[in-house]
Amino acid sequence: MAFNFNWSPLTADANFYTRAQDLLTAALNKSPKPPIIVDDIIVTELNLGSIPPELEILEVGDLAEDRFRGIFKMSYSGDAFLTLKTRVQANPLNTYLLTRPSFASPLPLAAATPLTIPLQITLSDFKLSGFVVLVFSKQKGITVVFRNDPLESLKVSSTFDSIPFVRDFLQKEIEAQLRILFMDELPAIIHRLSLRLWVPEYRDGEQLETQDTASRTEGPGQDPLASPPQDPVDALGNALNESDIASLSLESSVETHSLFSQKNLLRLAALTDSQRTLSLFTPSIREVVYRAWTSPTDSGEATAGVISPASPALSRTHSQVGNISSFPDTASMVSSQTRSTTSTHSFSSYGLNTGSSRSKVHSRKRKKRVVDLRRPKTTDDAASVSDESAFTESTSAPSVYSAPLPIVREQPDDPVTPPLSPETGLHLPPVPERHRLSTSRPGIRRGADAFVQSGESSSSARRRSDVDVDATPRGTMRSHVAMTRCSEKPEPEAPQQLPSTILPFADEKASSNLVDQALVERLAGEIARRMRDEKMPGSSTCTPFWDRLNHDEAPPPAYGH
Amino acid sequence: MLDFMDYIQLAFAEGTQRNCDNSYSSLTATTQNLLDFTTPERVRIHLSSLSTPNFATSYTLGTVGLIEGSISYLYSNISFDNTPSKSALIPLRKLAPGYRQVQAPIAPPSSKGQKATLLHATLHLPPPTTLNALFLRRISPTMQLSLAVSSTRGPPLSKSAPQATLLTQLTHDTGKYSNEYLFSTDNSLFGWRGLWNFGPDPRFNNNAQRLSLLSAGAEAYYSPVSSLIGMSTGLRFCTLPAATSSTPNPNTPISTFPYTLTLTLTPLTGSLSTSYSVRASPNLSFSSRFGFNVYSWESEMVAGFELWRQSRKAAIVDNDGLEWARNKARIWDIPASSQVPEPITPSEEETQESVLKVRVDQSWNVRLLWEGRVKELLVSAGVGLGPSSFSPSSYANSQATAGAQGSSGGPPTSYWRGVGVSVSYSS
Repeated sequence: MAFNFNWSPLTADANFYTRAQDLLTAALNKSPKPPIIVDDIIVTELNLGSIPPELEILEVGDLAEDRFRGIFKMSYSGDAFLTLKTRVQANPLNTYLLTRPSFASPLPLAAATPLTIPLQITLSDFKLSGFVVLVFSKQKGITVVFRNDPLESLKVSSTFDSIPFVRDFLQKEIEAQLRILFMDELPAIIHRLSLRLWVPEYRDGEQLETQDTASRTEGPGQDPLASPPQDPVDALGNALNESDIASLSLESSVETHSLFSQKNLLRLAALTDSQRTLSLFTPSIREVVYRAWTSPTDSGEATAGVISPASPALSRTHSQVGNISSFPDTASMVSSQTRSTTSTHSFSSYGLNTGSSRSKVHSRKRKKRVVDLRRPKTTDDAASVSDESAFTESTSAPSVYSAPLPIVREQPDDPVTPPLSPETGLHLPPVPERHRLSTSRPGIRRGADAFVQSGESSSSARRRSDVDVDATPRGTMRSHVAMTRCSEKPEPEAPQQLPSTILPFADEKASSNLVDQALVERLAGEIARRMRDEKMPGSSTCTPFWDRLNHDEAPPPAYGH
Repeated sequence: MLDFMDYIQLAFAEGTQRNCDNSYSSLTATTQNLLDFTTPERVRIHLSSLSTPNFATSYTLGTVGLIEGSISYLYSNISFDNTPSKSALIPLRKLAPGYRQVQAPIAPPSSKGQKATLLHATLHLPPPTTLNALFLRRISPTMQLSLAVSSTRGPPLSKSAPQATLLTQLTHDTGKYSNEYLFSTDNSLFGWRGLWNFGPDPRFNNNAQRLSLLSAGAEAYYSPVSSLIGMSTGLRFCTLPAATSSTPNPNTPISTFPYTLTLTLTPLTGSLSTSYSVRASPNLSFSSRFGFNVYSWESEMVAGFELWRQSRKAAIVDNDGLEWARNKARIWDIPASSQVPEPITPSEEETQESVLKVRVDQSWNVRLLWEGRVKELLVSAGVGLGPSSFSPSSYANSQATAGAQGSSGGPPTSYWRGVGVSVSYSS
């Protein structure tokens, strides 16, 4: 086993020295200075020299490609030097009096007149030896800790070398200060430097900190899920540009995950962690599908015969799943699109969909949609869909994509309380993205037009009920149950014990497997449901949330099943 | 503006006939009053009262970030019967010291039976509480003992500073010369201050009226623990009240207005400083100071003035419209009646005084202070302006900041350095 320890590339970086000087200057001025120093300590020169320190590996605790933990024995006697500049108070009585309360001080008349002298100190001939604990992790940067006091000796040359008393004093003081620096400040400096080097989140965090106050005054806090990820990175940690993002497909989940913002992943991790405990508390992350909610709708979809494509719960599931896979605009964009598509009466055409290509198109489209939605003015979207004319006609894509949302789905970022007010429900109806899929099929469209006239009333009625259903608090599981109960009774299905983060994929598989055999059932159920809706439109439109609650006394499902 | 407790201590010094001017520590009192005055920080309210002739209390409430305050008590065995304690009656000239007219040295008073004693304690209340206590005792007409204790619960300002300090000070003043011996338990600092007045000894021949006073002094400090050394020497020349009195001595016309010249040298750190202060009129004083350091070649220039404004209440003039006639008649009656019409001199109670102090130094640090009386309240309002910060203590003021300013040369961050109002009421 061999280690390649590179000393010179560290110094080859042109900005390294200025950065290190800035950090050192900041570190030296951070702590309250002794009163003898009356000015800022400025690092004017810094050179690490050409002689690297000698490292002897004592112990390697952890070794992997992206992390390392080990203990070294380090000895250094190189030619590094450091030049500091500051001003000192040369009158000892002045510093004495500055640090005393004035009440019981002798208050001399003029004996404490200050005398400030510029001082330049050069530290050279470092002799270090000590045990170093080095922990490296790509996520957390480098941590270097000295187990003991590493400073053996150094040479302090200053402006006062001609005065032996002052020289000895300075030597003593600076050695004491340097020991503190090595033990306390240097690990912090190295950690900060490495974080800046390896973790782009930290860099962004630094920038965010500065922008934080501005954005806070502008409006509600920015939702990490409501906008495209601000820091898409690939597996190597490099930032992605627009075309790179577009070229990524969702076929492999690894690449998808590398598109995630680390912040979002952390939130989701907190969510899954919270469900592993016995605690009943679930951090409410908005626009997130909880397992407790998704399972009925999933099962409903799996049985597939009875769920309407416009079923709000299902569409909500999809939109939220889309959100989970870090495309936060999915919901809003699709919903806006849906609004326009429903205006073209393509809504009821879904029931006429026949053909074995459905499941295939369905699954393919669902993979594609992520890419589609990422890029508003897409071209390969149209290409991927076999029939362009219907697609463009029905969706009126560019205008919809670029159109601003009529109601911004901004909700208070409250982690605990769900949005309870009905006003928040006045958002766009959630997202039957399958609408779009269906409308992009010309056969359906053409066939639909005949049916549309008859289904007109029902579609409008359903739309209203969509809005109404969405007005129910989305944070409460009860509403979802009520919702599904109202539209149709889902048949219980075998529980899918999958974490919510991989729901898109599980969901996809399940639907594609089952859709073929359940297709006929679904069609029948669709027609039956439609007829039932027409029969009693009042119940579906006007039944408010509370009515539904009344005849649904079932407790909300627990986590899992 | 002086604290109420400082005012009472001043009254104690007057009551025990101690000449405060005859000390090396007050050699540059005029310059310090005119150039190194402090402006109040933020808002402060003082409530004081001389409840009995021997006992005084004072409460202070201030806002420095958070509310802070202090409680003070003072007891003396000599009574302050003749000392006005109501804030409406305290003469402002005593509370706002400006140009200090040095009095001619006098012989120490004859021994009295009672030894005057003063006890004073102040407790500063926000959680790092600080207790200041003072004990003053006139051992003899020429000697005064002073013990000052400062104890704080908070962290000290530096590692070497202890939590409590006791300063013992023994003053021996004979009129001709005065000596002060100091000892501080902090680093066991020893100190000595001495002042010598040139000219005839006031103890032996007291008849000659002196017009000017030349004094020389020195101070030295030494701490055997931390090898702390400090010393300075000083020289002062000033006119005495007799020189500029209303009936000037025609034989020795020194000046028509009082002035003070000082020169201080600090040989160890190589700084020298000269000052010239003049009282151009009873209401206007100017002062300037030049400092130079021969080692660091840093220089200092400060100038300032104080302006007193006397706004009289409506002077009662019985105007019967016949004044012109009397004047006419007086012209003709000059040889006959030589009576001079007495000038209308309003009494002291009728004057409403206020003072404005301004100082500026070479790096354009400006301080403005207005002190006056608003109804029954004594108000002191100050503004500090400047590109660099003021240090509150007077020794580290403009030289250090000027040096830092020159070296950094950065853009001025904020020109406002501090605004404050201090309101006092006493009864």
